[in-house]
Amino acid sequence: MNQDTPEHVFTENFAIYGDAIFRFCLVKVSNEVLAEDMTQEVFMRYWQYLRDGKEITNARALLYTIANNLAKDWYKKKKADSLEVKMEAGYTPVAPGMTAEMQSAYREVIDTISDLDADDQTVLLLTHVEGLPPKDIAVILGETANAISVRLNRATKRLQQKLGI
Amino acid sequence: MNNLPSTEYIKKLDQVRLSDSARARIGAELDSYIKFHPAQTPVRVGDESRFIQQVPTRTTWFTQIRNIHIMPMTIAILIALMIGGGTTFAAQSALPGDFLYPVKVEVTENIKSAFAFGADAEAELQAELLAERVAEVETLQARGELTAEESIAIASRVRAQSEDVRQASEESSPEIAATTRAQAEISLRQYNAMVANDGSLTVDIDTIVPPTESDTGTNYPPTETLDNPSPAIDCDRIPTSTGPESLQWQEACGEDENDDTKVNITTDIGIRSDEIPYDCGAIPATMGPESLAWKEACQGDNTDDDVKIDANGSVEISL
Repeated sequence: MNQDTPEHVFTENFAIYGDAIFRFCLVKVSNEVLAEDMTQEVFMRYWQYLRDGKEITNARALLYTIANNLAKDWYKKKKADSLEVKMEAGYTPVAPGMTAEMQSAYREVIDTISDLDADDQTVLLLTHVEGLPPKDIAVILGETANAISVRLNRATKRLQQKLGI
Repeated sequence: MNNLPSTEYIKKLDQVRLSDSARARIGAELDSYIKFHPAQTPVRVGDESRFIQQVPTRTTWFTQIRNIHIMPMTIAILIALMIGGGTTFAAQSALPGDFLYPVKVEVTENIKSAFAFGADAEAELQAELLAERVAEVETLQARGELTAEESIAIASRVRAQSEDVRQASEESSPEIAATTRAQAEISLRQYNAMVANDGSLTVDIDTIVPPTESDTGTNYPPTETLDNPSPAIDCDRIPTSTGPESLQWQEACGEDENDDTKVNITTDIGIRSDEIPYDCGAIPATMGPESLAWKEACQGDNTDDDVKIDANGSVEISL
């Protein structure tokens, strides 16, 4: 099969960025099951772009942008029926293949940053975990690279304050 | 600054990965998603392709989608688009013998199946469809419109549907498989109770339980009850002539798997219906001259061939 077919590109990108998008979603919604569904939704929307033959120069940035928009929608919905979602969000099954130790370690991080500003979370995650440069994060959040750098600096300080270090 | 404790702290998230099961599930769902939303120009139904006969012709868009993954389901969806939502909606409540019934069984339900992503959803859907088949019999019986010919056709459909439930439940998760089988068993018991006066119409409830030995043949598992006196019929050998023999073959073997070819048959309405060996078991999926001719040949007044079922359940066909 041709390496350049949209199908091939799509499958490849799911293999490469699936985990990263899942992490992003998990930080946003704090629930594995929801995050998995959201990951799937992100890739479905990404496929919509591909099949329309739209030129995509930076697949990663596009995937994060879609995920970020989905997360915003999710926050809006969450406000509407907050009680139901809150109860749902409290339920976190242990992901198979992950030790309880790892599980609790990352849960703690997610809980800690969950009450940070949504954009702060994004900037911290994308910089420190995914290693994206501010320029790329700027594209995703629709801001300037400079604004992202400033935000990163402040978000780091806020996190340190929270952790008491 | 990369060594700040806060950075190390948040780096723990690096361990987070999609679990293997989640990755496989999402991967599979995305796969089927991209198959049903193929790339390239989406299929447009233009003025020139208003007629059903043009579906199988080699138009450019047709060859285009053929290059990707051509499936009977794709064709079914195309047909549904062309016939229009109204018809398929009207077909929802059709009963066996109605003009729109083939649309309901072949188009609407195949579309439902196409959108039931995952083995579990598919199994649940198939069980629902079995219940639907049984409900149809109930309605027909209540109205007193259940004819002998219809009963035979319905029996073969119920058997085929039970087979679908069995296959779907084998692929689904154990819990779903158990519930769908239980649901299917209730439906079948209900059905058997309704046709209790005729032994040849009942369906073996064991059909929905997977066979202990793998059954790879295309024949249905022996669902016929033992007191059925009709001779053993080889389902692989399709009779070439019309007549009692082929009718019996139809009954015994029901609809075979030639769904793809069915759509490709383009029949000119000018041909006299008795010249074509109509496959009465295979209801045409499309509406148009083809299905009209089919209806004429298989469902019209059967003054020529008379199907009678006596008390023993044996079928007599006099021509």
